[in-house]
Amino acid sequence: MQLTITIDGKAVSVNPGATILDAANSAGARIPTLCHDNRLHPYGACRICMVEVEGPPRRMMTACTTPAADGMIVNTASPAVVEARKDILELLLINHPLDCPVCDKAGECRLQDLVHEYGLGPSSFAEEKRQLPSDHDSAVIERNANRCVLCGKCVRICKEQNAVEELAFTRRGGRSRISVAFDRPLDCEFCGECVDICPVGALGAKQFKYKARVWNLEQTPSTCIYCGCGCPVSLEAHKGSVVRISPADDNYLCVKGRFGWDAVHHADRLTTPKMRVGGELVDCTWDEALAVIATNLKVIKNKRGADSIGGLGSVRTTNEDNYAFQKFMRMVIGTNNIDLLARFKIPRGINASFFSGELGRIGESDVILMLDQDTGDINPLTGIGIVRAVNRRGSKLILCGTGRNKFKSIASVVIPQDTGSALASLTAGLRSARRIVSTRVKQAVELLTSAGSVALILPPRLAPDTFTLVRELAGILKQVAYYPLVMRGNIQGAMDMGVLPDYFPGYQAVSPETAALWGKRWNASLPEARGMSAEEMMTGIERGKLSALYIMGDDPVSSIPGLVPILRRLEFLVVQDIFMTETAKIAHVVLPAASFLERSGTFTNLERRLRRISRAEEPLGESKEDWEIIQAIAHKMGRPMNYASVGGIMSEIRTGVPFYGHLAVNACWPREQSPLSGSLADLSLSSDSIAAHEVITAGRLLFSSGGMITRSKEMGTIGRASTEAEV
Amino acid sequence: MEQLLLKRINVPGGLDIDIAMAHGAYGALRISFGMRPVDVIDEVKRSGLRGRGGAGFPTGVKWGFAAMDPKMPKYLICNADEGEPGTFKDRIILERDPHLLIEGMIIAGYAIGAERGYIYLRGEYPAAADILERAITQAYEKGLLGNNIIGSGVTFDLSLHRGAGAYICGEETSLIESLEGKRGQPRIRPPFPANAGAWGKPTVVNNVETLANVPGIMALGSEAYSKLGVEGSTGTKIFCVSGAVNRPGAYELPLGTTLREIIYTHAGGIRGGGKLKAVIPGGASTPMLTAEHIDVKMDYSSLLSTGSMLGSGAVIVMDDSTCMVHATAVIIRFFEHESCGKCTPCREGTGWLHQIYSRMLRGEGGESDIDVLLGICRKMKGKCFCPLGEGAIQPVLSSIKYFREEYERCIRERGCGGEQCKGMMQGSKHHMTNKFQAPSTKSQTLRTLDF
Amino acid sequence: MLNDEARERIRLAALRYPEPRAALLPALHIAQKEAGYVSEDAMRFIAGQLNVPESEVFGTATFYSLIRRSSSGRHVISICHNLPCTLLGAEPLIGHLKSRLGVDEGEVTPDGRFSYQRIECIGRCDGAPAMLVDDDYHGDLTPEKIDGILEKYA
Ligand SMILES: Cc1cc2nc3c(=O)[nH]c(=O)nc-3n(C[C@H](O)[C@H](O)[C@H](O)COP(=O)(O)O)c2cc1C
Ligand code: SF4
Ligand code: FES
Repeated sequence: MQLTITIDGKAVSVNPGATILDAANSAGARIPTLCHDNRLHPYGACRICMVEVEGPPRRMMTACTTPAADGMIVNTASPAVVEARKDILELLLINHPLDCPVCDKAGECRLQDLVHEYGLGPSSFAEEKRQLPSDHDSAVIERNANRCVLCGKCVRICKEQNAVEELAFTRRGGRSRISVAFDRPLDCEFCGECVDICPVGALGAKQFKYKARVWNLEQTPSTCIYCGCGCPVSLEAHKGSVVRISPADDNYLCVKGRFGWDAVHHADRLTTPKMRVGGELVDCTWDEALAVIATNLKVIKNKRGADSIGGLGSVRTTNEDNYAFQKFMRMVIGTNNIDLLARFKIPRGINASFFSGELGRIGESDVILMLDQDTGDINPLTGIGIVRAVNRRGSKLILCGTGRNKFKSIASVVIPQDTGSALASLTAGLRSARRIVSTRVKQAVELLTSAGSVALILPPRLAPDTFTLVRELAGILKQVAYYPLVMRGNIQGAMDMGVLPDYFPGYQAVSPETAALWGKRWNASLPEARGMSAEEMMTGIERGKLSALYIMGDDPVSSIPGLVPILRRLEFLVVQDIFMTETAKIAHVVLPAASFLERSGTFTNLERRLRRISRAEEPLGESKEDWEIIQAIAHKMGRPMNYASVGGIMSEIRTGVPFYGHLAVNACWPREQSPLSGSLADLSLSSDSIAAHEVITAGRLLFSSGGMITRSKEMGTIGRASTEAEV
Repeated sequence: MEQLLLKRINVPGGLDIDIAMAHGAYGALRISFGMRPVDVIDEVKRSGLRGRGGAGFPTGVKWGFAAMDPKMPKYLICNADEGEPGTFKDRIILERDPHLLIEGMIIAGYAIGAERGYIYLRGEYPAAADILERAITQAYEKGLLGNNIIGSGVTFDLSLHRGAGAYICGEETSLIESLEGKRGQPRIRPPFPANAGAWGKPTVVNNVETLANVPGIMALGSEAYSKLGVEGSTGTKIFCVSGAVNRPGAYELPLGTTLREIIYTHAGGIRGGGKLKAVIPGGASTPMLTAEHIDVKMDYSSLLSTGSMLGSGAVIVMDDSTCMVHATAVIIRFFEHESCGKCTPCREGTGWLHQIYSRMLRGEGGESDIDVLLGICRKMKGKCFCPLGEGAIQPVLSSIKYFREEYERCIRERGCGGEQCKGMMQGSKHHMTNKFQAPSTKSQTLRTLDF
Repeated sequence: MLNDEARERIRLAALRYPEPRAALLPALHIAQKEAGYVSEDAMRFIAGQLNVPESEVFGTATFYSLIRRSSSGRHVISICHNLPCTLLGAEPLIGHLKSRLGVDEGEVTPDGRFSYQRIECIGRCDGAPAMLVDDDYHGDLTPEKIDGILEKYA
């Protein structure tokens, strides 16, 4: 039953349970808030949202906490309301330092805006202001307690959205403040969500301190490329240089997305092409570099055949770059030797588009079974989705794992076993109750059997026997949604684009028919047999089968041990990257690419959602967007591609890849449309798959993400940024 | 005079359950178990009993809400946080007749369908804690707590939960938060505790004295009980008299007894032959009255018509030697200290008030201070999250209303320099600079402030 | 750190509630009883045992004025300074106590015997001015009476 409530003379109908604030929003009346946020449970502390509810008796109520009642008559702007708000503002200001000139929040400070809007006069406050110590010791974030208005949003988002609970209210009354346990510096996930949600300048990002006044920032909507979540962001630039990255709207950003981008301003950035002259890499012109590449590739192709050349695409670049790259390898070079390093030693098929649906829908499952205890570190947004599902929609979480884990606090059951053993005991338990030994497994089995739907959060890599168990478990449960974690940025997009030795774009398996089809499109004759995988390329080099390798945007040397002597055997190695990586250091030609802040294109996240990447800075030095470089080489080799812009590539993708045909930006392409579609059980492991490769990592995954993050100054201050191998 | 609440407090050895039982303890239990829970609730409704914790909400009605909610389990919580300055009535029951309370709780639990009860006892009552622990243990031993109480099939478990020094935890939703192991900050209402209280379950929170009335009601019958006191304020009430009287103490008297009778007949009149100057009739958060109100009847509605409230029934008496600025300052210091800090008006307002009072007592009051004080009260009024902040302004408003010229003199004469005022200032400074607080720096001593 | 008995008492306390977190205040009391105050270590231990974040344990502990976070004297004097006691002379008495002990509020006497704190109403207004020494109540205080009481605590 709908309720009707009158807001400033306008009748609106709302659902039961709606607050006056909700009703006002639908009536288009603006009620100011400080402590309220739609992502959080109502709190009602700041009292700025007071409205007048007609009586009898006529009374002042907080709009954010008062449920709308049928027939209620509310004034949101009567003189009494305006006076009440002024009173609250004055009370807030008595202890608030008026240091707006040196506060980075100025310009987007709710308090400042409200004081301005309500035009406060001089205050009668003539006492001393409260003085609290500030926190300059924490990494990445600075806390200025004197500016705090104790709205508690930081505390609540840390708990209700992130399940971290690093911040808490401490002490009491006028001595209340927000602290970390025992008043120590922050030791958390450093997502910076608290900085964003703070309505005043009590929490600030060190990275942004004194960088720019917010009203001078130019916003460019784009996408974070660090992990498969691909969160929408706003690139905020001042004088042509990005100074801050914020989540778009109310979205979440993790530490990498928010603070790790400063890597693109690292001194390791390549600014000119380089080629090897007498053993040394020396700067050269684009023309020189392109000529050397074209000549060498032609010579090798003529001498040893197209299949002696291989290419590795990139999970850090756009769909368009990857499309252009595979097209280059197939059409210009004439080989299917193309793959992603990110798939090195990964069972084929896994990760390919079987994420069941949108992240926001995790909450539609009654039970969430988390089979990877690093979920929050690998795909932070997926982790947030789970916390939201539990905290807001009441989904039950079963957590498998042995380590310290923030999800323990919200889990209904914790099974202290690794993925494989937990799966084994659960499947056994589901088959026969008599085989259950532990009460925890019993509770979990009860939850699973009574659940109408179950979401499975799977590790990014599954050992074959674990994979079998997952299939078995899925077979028993009623309705299962899969959420395999995706470590690396655009792996989904790169695979969709056919950066695979056995698939053309759109998962069209390599065959004489598909080769003919794509050949017709590209006006070329294409190789008809599958090419070498990343792993086969490496062994191919050792066996003398591969003589040249073109690596676009990846750094195998830093992630796979013992690779340098192997790569040194190559006759010709081209590395195209944004940094002078370890791999670049042994290349024959090194090409400077533009970073994700300096380019445009699209990205496909783990939900198969198309995201847009946009340019907020000019490419550094002489660096160029990857596709431009590829196109230039193609041109030099006599097979021009003729794209006028990235848009041209996207049009071609839309014709060739059916499920991108009408895919709108920010929409997910439907899983059923992929030839590889179907449930997890449809995917088979191919024979060459090898058990999960050990990841070389020296710290939390959250604070590491290969070459980008290790070059971030901000992330470095967290002190635990590790050099994780990119596998 | 009918004594329902304090009748056993002077029984020698009365803390012992056998002796208490010999004097009638747990007698009303059988009567109650012989009735259906709804009938017990009806009986309490008919008795007219209203909560003695301060708000005066009809007890039977509150029980009815919780009893009707289908969610299980349900909880009964006894509010023994007794923090309202001047109040010590609950302590007398807790320390001297704990079985009266336990009996009341068992009956209440039975009536609302709660099988679990907690006594939330303020941390400042260590003696009562020991006594209650023992009384609870004895009641278990006698089969009066636990499963199948005296063969009735009724289950009721009871535990003591000690607070740790926070007045706000007397407010029922803060109390529940505190019971759950959190900071004692009030919750948003609705939902009300009767529907979603402790651990989200239907919960009744009742004051000690309220629950202590229950055995009497069941024993006497609602009819006889409701004849005690006056219309709308039935039963007896324990009045706690403190301050400048000859015989401070707790007096159980019918509601509607006059203030004069309480002060002059029972509490022995003003100490040292002084003159009555001001009275706080219901604890620190109720507006002050003056000698002219001496004939007011102490019941819910008569006090409302004087502009004050019955509150907890703590009568704090001030004679003509009292500095009203100072007395008010002490109360404000209390509220500043006890504000939970959640909402803006209470947190900032009590702090600001306290700063001004301190300054006035230091002899640094300014001409505009009275207006500023009134202004702060106006800014706070009707905007606080819970009644604590609303209560905090009452002593300020009422003392200025009745004793404005004392404020003016205090300002004019730069404080009185009296022992008490000076002492408080030393104390209060200390009080303010708790050790977590950074020392204030020169640059922060902004004297004027323009927005 | 907490001794075994204290740990066991905390474990038992948790059983009285539907959720273990509710045993947080009891646990803080137990820890304070043992050491005279609640140390960071004790709070960490409690956090682990009751599965409450450390920040929340700290935030909760600092909310309550009876929970001490630094060491106290062997005996803690809590002297009431609320209105009923003030009306009957609490301030001069606090002054007396302070000069007798020779330390400020919150400090420990050199012999380690006492520390004192001001406290809000302790519900002994019928015996005002009043104070608590540890768990013992003393009322109708005068300077002489305070001197006598202090003698009794070693
Ligand atoms: C700030 C504040 C402090 C309170 N302190 C107490 C208290 O110490 N004892 C008490 O019984 N009720 C206290 N109350 C009232 C309780 O919120 C609640 O109304 C009462 O426990 C209900 O019990 P009753 O209906 O039996 O009175 C307080 C209320 C407020 C707002
Ligand atoms: S730090 Fe900011 S977000 Fe947190 S309570 Fe203070 S004002 Fe609110
Ligand atoms: S926004 Fe409603 S009280 Fe803060």
